[in-house]
Amino acid sequence: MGHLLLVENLVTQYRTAGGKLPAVQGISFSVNKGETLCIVGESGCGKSATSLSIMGLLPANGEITGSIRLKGDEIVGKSEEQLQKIRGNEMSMIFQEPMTALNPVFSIGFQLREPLMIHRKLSKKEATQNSIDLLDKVGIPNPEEKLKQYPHELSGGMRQRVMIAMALACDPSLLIADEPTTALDVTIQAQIIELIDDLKEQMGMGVVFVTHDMGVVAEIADRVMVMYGGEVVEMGDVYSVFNSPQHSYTKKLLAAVPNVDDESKFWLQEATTDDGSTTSS
Amino acid sequence: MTDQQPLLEVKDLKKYFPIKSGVLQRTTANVKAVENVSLQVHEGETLGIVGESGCGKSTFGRSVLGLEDITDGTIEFRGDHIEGLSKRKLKEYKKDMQMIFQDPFASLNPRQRIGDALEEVFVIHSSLSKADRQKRVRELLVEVGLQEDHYNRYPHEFSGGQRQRIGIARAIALNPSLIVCDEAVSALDVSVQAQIIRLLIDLQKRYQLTYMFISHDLGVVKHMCDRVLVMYLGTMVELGSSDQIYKNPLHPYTRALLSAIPRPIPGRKKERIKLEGDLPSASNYPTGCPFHTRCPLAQEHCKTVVPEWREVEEGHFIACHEV
Repeated sequence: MGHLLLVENLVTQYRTAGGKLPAVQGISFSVNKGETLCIVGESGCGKSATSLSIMGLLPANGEITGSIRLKGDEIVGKSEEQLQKIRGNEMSMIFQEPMTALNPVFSIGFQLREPLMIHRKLSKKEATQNSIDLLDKVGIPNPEEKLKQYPHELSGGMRQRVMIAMALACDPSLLIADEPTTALDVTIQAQIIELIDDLKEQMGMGVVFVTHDMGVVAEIADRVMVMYGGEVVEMGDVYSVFNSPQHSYTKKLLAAVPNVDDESKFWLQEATTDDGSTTSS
Repeated sequence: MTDQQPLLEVKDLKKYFPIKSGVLQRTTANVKAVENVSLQVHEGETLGIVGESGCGKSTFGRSVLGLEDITDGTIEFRGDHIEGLSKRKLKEYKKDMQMIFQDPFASLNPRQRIGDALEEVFVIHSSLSKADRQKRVRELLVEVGLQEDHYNRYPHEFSGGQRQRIGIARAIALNPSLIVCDEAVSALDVSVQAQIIRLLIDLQKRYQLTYMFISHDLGVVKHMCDRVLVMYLGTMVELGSSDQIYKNPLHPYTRALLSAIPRPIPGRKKERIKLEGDLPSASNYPTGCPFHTRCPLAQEHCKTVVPEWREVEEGHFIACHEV
């Protein structure tokens, strides 16, 4: 059966003055069409390195071995030019801080039209109409007005919606979301999670959702992959991971979540005694 | 609890940031960051202040410590008025009131050893000899769960959790009675977060500290605080004991906020109160109840009449017409 995304033995390393620093150490996983895979773990566990590897967006000192196949097509080893055809077209990514991903000196309209004109070869007029439809789709009120505005004029939640609109511009089959709600307030986070979930249903995309928040995982994931120190320590469907976690790290991670519905304060007593620094630094 | 004099009493605190425009830079509008906040903090308690970004919770905390010049209102610390005091006079009180910030790395000089950074506190606020100061710093490091030999290290050599411990060491150095923790654990991973909270609770027991715990994370606040204040757009929305707020939230905003928190229970299909839209801008302040633009219960009069701050049960206050 054809997986949408199939990652096998992915090793991602950073070359530094002190030698090679492994960020991802031989992980394998797959994502199907219409499925959300959550990658969860604490800072430095390799979850972002994994998503950057898939997108081919590692910094210049990054190195990949292994295999990443999107619809059966091998991505590892592709030239930058070939990658550009895939990025934004077949797969796209949204980031934690949309302000850093948006260009402050161009209007929202300009930035939204760009991928449409490059990848789908639309005229400016068609692209403008398309941008309005996209903004409408991600729930932005008065889309025509918003096209003329600049990123700093929008709130954090609105910016993230614009980023999502941009990512969806070319109907990608895979969406990678790297902590897309971490910088947002809870009421806005709830809106964005629902939006991503709805769009996934509508468009039948596969979604890789990177987060450190087990609460968010429970809300959006179909399957969960728990990472620690660049390795996958547990993978399974969301119910089995939450209801019967097998690995001690997953158990610890779940126990450390401050649950508002929970009466006991056990998570304070249970917490680990070491300073939690993960192994990758 | 209410018999004795409160440690801190704030009345009708307002903090506006002026928006200046035109050639003459006249004040044309105000950003109302804090609008009429009044509360008491009692010795030994932990008061949580929660709300979304831009609700004025940090500005409130900073105003209380004299880090912002307030626009109007009074702040009494142990019965003494401290608003509008000169820097020199305020210095006396600052020993007693400290702050822990979200990102301790930002407040540490990257080229200064940790020991020296901590020692500076005593240089400014005490007359200890150099040897005594160093001894005291080493004690402090141990007290917050670091090691004596961390004295000679630089900030970049510490992990996020350790840096926050340094921030805490600096805050407790002068035996203050009130510590304002502004998003003190928000930037930390969950497992480290729990350790830092445990440290804060231990220190509170040992030194009878009073905390004002400012956070957007309602889960952490629940486990940490005796009383909780919910703020929205600079105003007080609901105040009550931790139990009252979490078990019996009354204000529609508090309810929406609590229901929006993602729970670590898969498949719990959301009995969620959805809030439409964004926080209105504090420079274009809504009339009437500040929450009426997003409120599911809003009626005509909510748009014009500011709701009264009233007590609905003992110690439980809200500002809402409809509840």
